[in-house]
Amino acid sequence: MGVLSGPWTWKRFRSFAYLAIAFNRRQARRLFLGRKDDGGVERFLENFAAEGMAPLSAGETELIFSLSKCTYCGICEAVCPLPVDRWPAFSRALEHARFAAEDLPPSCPPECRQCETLCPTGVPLREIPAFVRRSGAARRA
Amino acid sequence: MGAPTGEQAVTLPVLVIGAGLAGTVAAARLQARGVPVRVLADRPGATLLHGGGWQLGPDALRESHPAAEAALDDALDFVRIGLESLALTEGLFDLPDVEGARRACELAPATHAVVDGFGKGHAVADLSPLGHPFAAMQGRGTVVTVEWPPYPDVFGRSFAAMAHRLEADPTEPARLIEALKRALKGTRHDALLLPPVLGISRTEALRRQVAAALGIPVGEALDALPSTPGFRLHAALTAWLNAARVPMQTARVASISLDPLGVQVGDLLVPARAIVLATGRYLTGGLTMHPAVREPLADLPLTPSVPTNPLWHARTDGPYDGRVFETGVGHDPGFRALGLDGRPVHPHVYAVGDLLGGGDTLTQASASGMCIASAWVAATTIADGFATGEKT
Repeated sequence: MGVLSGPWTWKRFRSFAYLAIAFNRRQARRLFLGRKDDGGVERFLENFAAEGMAPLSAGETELIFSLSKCTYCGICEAVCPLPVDRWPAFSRALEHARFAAEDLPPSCPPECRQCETLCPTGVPLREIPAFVRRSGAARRA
Repeated sequence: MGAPTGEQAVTLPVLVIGAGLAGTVAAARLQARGVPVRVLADRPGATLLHGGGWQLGPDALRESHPAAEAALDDALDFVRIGLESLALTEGLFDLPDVEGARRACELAPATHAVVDGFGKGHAVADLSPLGHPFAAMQGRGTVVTVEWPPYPDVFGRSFAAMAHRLEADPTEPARLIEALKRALKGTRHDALLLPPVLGISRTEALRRQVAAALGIPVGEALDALPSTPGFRLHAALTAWLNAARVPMQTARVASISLDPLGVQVGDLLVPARAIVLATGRYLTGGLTMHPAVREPLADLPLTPSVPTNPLWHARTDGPYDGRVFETGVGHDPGFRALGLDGRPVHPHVYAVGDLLGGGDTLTQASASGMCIASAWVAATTIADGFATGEKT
């Protein structure tokens, strides 16, 4: 089960050994040189933020999980009074958020809950525009 | 708080959890039998995805649910009479064909039979920009392009969106008729086949209006999701419950408690005389797949049993047999939910509709028949027990 199962080939052994060396070196640096952070987060963001892999808060992770319950049935689109026809698409594909953010309609009328009350799987649809704007802005930054 | 007894038990309502097809039939049946009932639901559920055909599948019922199959005719009559008395069945149990006659529609593919019922002389309306899938499929009739609707906001959406628009705006039917007249000008057709755009709750009136204006019979075909017939069914069921004066509450039920019998809504334990679980299957949360396959409200055992995490199981331990789509709550002949020992978990806890295991509703096409029949039997069992209980 997991990373430790499977046959122990030489290649695999070497990979684990490199991991162990890197881990120990890092711990030693932190201990003796007092370096708490070696800029890993910045380097990660530099490389991957453009592809939509910016860090998410716990609440955002939760939201994305509930958005993934979308079955593309299209009921929300059929009853939505706003001129937007891509609600389901907005619920996935974070790397497209910056393009989607430019395309967003004005925000939902506060009293309209048509889509959320009718969604068979209970996707929190009204939270999508704010989320897309937020993460779209984060991607551009 | 002890177990409800005596006078208190009589005044407590039966709580129906879920307002889809099964929940509605159960509640309407209980109300008709004079049993106090209350419906708790937070959304309409998979009924909205109903394709418009009544997928009765009596053969599938006979194999896996003999108790439901035996009661199917009575149950169907109950629903039919209930909806007909409110003039709600139009466009639900059957589809109008060219003569204006009604053609029974038992399976969603029967739409093709309706299309077959049209002669070759009919016109098929191609509503830009969505086109008409059935026209292409059948290769019959003459496709006429209709310039409707003029709204950019429903372009690229669905026929269901058009149906909503047509009903919401009182001037819209006239504009549709005008567009149809323009499209049919100078041609001769026996009839007109439209996509399902003729409104949600006033379908028959709209159909007659269009037919009268054009001077030829008008019919409607079914469509893929989002399904206009699904919206119509949901509207009809809601109207049925309203007309029957069944109290409905928007509430998300967190769990059910067996002792004392009741359902947990937020911090509140709502006591009940009996509980009918009509929560559907995976789609609507009646069963969950993450983090494990289980019934979330009462943790009822599932039958046939499946690995708690079937997806992981499928990846690691050889071929997966697909039973996860057949699993659900077990039931006795009165549709009480069964516990681990094969006996009802509680004499007054029932499970109905798609929540029940023993058949794959995706492949057996028995979802609607199962919902109607099981809900009817459960409600009848409760009402019978209620009647004898009151006497003694």
